[in-house]
Amino acid sequence: MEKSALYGRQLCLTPDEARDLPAEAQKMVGIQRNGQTLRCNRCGSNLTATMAQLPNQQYYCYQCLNLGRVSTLTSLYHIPEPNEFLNYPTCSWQGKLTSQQAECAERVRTNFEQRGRHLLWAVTGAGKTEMLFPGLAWALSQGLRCALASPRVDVCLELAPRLQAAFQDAEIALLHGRSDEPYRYCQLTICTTHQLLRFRSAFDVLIIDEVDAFPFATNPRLHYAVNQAVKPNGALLYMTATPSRELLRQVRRRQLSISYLPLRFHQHLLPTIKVSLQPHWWRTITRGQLPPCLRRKLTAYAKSHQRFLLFVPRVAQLAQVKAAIERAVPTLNGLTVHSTDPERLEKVQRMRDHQVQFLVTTTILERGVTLPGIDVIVLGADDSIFSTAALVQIAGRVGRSRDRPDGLVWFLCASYARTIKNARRQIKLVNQKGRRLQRAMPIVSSEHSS
Amino acid sequence: MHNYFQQYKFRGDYRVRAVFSTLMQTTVNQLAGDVVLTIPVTASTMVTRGFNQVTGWLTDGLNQVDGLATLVQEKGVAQSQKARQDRMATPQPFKLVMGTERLRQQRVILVDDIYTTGRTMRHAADLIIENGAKSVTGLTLAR
Repeated sequence: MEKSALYGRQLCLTPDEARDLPAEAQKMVGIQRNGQTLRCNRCGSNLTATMAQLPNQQYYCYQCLNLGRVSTLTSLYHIPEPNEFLNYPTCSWQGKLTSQQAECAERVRTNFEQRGRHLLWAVTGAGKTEMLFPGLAWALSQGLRCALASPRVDVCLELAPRLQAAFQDAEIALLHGRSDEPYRYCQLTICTTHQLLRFRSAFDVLIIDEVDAFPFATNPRLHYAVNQAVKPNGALLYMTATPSRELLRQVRRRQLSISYLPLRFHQHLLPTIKVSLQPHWWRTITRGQLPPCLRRKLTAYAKSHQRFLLFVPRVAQLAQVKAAIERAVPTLNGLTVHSTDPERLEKVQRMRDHQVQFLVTTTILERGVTLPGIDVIVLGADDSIFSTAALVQIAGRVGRSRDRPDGLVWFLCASYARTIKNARRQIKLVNQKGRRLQRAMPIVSSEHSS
Repeated sequence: MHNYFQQYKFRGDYRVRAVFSTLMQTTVNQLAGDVVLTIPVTASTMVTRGFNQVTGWLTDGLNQVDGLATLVQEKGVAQSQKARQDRMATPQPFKLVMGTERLRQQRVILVDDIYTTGRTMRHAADLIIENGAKSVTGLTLAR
């Protein structure tokens, strides 16, 4: 094994696999036993002995099993991060930030310099990725090791080419559970938050995109992973359009600094949500038909070739919804996609490439996906699976291009649920702030692309 | 079933033995043999996986009683990685590590996880019969 494969990492190996490791490799026990308590040294979980038990008084961690089993039969191997990078990449991005974006970007950069903890709260489509560039350019030029992690693999896949385009001479490692590519030691890493469990004190700068997304928000192991993967004196940046209460609490306690951007990169407001009450939409679909209002809309789409996403609450509903669409409007050409779909990534790519006009999808495409100029329809938006944050994110898929800064966000639901009310309220609030900002700074014309 | 074995054997999630342990135990009891033997795993598997997946179903997982042991210390290619031809040509991989008097004129139940070509089962059964057992009944969870 290459020495660099262990830099800032903690790899779980059996004694056999660890036989020809470089001499510098430090060895740590996989499972820490303290009297009655058991603790996994990779994911930090406290384990219940009866569940963690293997024969012959051995124990394993059942919490981070998907990354390869940590047990008393294995050890974790680590070499402290040496920041051994040959040439530091430079930023080749030619775009320009709006003055508000530039202000946020400057805050981000100073946070990196001061190695602080910072929250960048910017509305969907504000251009968060671009606002990172000045800070990242600085960090990379200083020889710092940087990582951008997101709970969603789709987000990672979308970020990778954008960052590669902005830092053309940078080597970027893209790590996620579905990847077959072997690990590479690079100055810049893009990965899912789960992959952070394989790092230890590696990053001088760690950015977590979409912090409020599933599964990060509800998974304590991933929070542990973040603190483990960043160097003790490293900088941490959280980014989201819909921060959780917990994050805002940390802001109030001054454990986290914050910068805020209520306007999108093209200076337009967020599209507002249109709601139609359709108490029997699901029954209509199970009969193989579409609610009349939806049929009219989709017929119009078939003529105008307007592209759209159609969200449904459950995976099991995808096929029936698509069948009903195909029956009602046969000229529309679309696909269904869900989280465990083996062709998920290819299907989303086909939508990006304009090969299909629409996708019927579950909440997996709620965030991080930019499909310029699309409309969004949500069936059953009152279902408990759609949180307020999810609805705001879904609405935020619309109007993300300068050429078409608005578009339709349409919720069809049986009832006017609290989540929908709150989502509308949040958008209204952000738009109020945005309008104030628009008045304060008359439209700045700028040439950057999204 | 494929996913189950993926989780149990290859990821090594020993907890999921509970999914089939009642079924396997009651079936073994119904077969009413005199001796129950499980197909062993190699010593190197014991080091990496840390458990015998069959014994996991049949015992509470703590006491590993095996009458059979594998001859080879390291396995070259796992049985599940081989094609049928190669599997059929596998030489006898087992040896007996218990006294033959415990097998003489006994009805033996032999338990394994997956039956594919039957090669493993037959090797073990041959060995048991050679050592004086009256009969051998094979039991596997899947095929």
